[in-house]
Amino acid sequence: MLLKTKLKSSESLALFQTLALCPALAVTTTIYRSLAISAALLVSIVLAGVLVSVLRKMIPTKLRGPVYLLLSSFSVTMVHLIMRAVFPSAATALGVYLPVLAVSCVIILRLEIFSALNTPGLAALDGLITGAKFSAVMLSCGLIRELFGKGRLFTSPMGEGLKIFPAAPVSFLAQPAGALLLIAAAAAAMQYIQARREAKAENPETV
Amino acid sequence: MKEKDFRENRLTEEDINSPEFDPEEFAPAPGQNIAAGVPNMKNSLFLVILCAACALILAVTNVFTVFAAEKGIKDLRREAVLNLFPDCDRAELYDTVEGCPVYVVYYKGKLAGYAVYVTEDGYIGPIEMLVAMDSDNKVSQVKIVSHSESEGLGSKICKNKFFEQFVGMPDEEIDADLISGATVSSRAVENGVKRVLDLGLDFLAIAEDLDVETISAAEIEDDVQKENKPGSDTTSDDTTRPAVTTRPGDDTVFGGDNVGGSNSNAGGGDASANGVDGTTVYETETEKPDETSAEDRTDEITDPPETPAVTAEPQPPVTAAPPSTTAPEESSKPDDSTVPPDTSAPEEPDSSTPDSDSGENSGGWPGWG
Repeated sequence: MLLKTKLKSSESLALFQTLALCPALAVTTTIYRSLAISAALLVSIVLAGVLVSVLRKMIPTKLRGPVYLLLSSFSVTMVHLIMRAVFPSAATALGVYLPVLAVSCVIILRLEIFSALNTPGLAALDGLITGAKFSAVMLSCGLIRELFGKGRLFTSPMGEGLKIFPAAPVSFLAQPAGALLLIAAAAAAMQYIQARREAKAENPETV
Repeated sequence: MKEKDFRENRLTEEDINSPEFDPEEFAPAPGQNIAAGVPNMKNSLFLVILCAACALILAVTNVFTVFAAEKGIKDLRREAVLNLFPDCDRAELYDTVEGCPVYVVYYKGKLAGYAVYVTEDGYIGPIEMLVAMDSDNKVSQVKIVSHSESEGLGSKICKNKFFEQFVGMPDEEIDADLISGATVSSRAVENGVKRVLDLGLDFLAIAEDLDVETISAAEIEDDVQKENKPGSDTTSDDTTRPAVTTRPGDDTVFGGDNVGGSNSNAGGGDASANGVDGTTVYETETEKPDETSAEDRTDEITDPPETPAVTAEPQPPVTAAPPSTTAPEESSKPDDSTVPPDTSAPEEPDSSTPDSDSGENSGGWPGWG
């Protein structure tokens, strides 16, 4: 039982957060698209968090799964609809990956942990923080992939962007494999930091 | 108890024995595994109502946004069509034939050509492409608008080298060389072009239908050059700018296999980047020839900033003429200060465009602007 609980709680959390990045990875080939996906994700996380928080007293315990899924896909669809109308070029650039965000289990995960227990205001703040973290990851991913995978910056549907290198220095970074490697490195770094922090918290004198 | 339940999906013995446990909430049937539970009416009702509410809200939102969304897509498409006809100033949706939107392009009110949107199934997803036809009903250019083929393999279909073999169809054999590693993707493009040719559209018939005059690519070329001769007095903005902005790029962009990125002259090194980007739209294969037009391009949609129409016949004069004709104009143009420092100065407007357009975050990302 103890093992089961442990498996469920902490280790899988890190794994799922990495998994949640996967749809985003397909998009982060340029900064422009990273920005678009980050914005969409940020808004949907906040929206879904607030929704769950508002409904938290009403949601039956057994229906948490379906209801959270419903609410997160609702907010992502909402964002998709609005983005399509307001920023058509960004929505087109993201293509199918914008609605796919709904699957992004990070939303569900966050909802499970925080929004269901807290007031809407706190839930919105939490969503903002989470979204900002993900945006940071995705933007750096987009920056590195565009800079080294293509040798240029700020490519967008409107322009060619800046040319930094004459040719793509590490062209495989523009491909999915490059994104996975990048994110693996980032996840490793984050886990290392987290492990150190935990160790510090347990016994502050030794570290 | 609820809080505990968030961490753990199943009830334990401990939970059931605790005083907080409310049997009615879970309503286990006698002898049944409690964790499996039985659906109760209240829960189903809740879910149904919530689903209905969400659907309703989304439906209302959709009603309010769908027109704007369609308009946005249409604008994007029109812009993309216009980019295939560098000198032309207006693109309009003509008709939808067999599910393919057909756009007509005008040069000074005269019909100059048309372009067809086709969607073919690629290896992974649909490949949306745009086939531009000139006044002789021949393919003048092919462009991938969006696709989701594998990066580095299927995405090779965005290379100019691949497209050039379609130019001049249907006079030439419709038997394109497929790209190794991207067989399905390149065949899809080939099929798309074939399908456009099979639609049986006729330039003159369209012109008759719309009741407009026509103009051929060669005539446009002549006209543009004529306008450029007295180019210093900027009588009409529309026509002088394309001449200045696109001419310098012409010879470099379509001179041949510039896919490898070997052209080192003007244009801020535009050649090497084509087609690297997977699902990106409108930016992949046709290089924007030079950054000198960047300021103008942001202003005005109808500005045709990029590659020339590669018509089958007038190509030799097109590629031969520009260097001689453009040089004087460039220097006589008032904004020629932006021309020489290709690498640094004209790039700034470009770099600002991504931020300004993606509105939501424009303020939040100043660092790299």
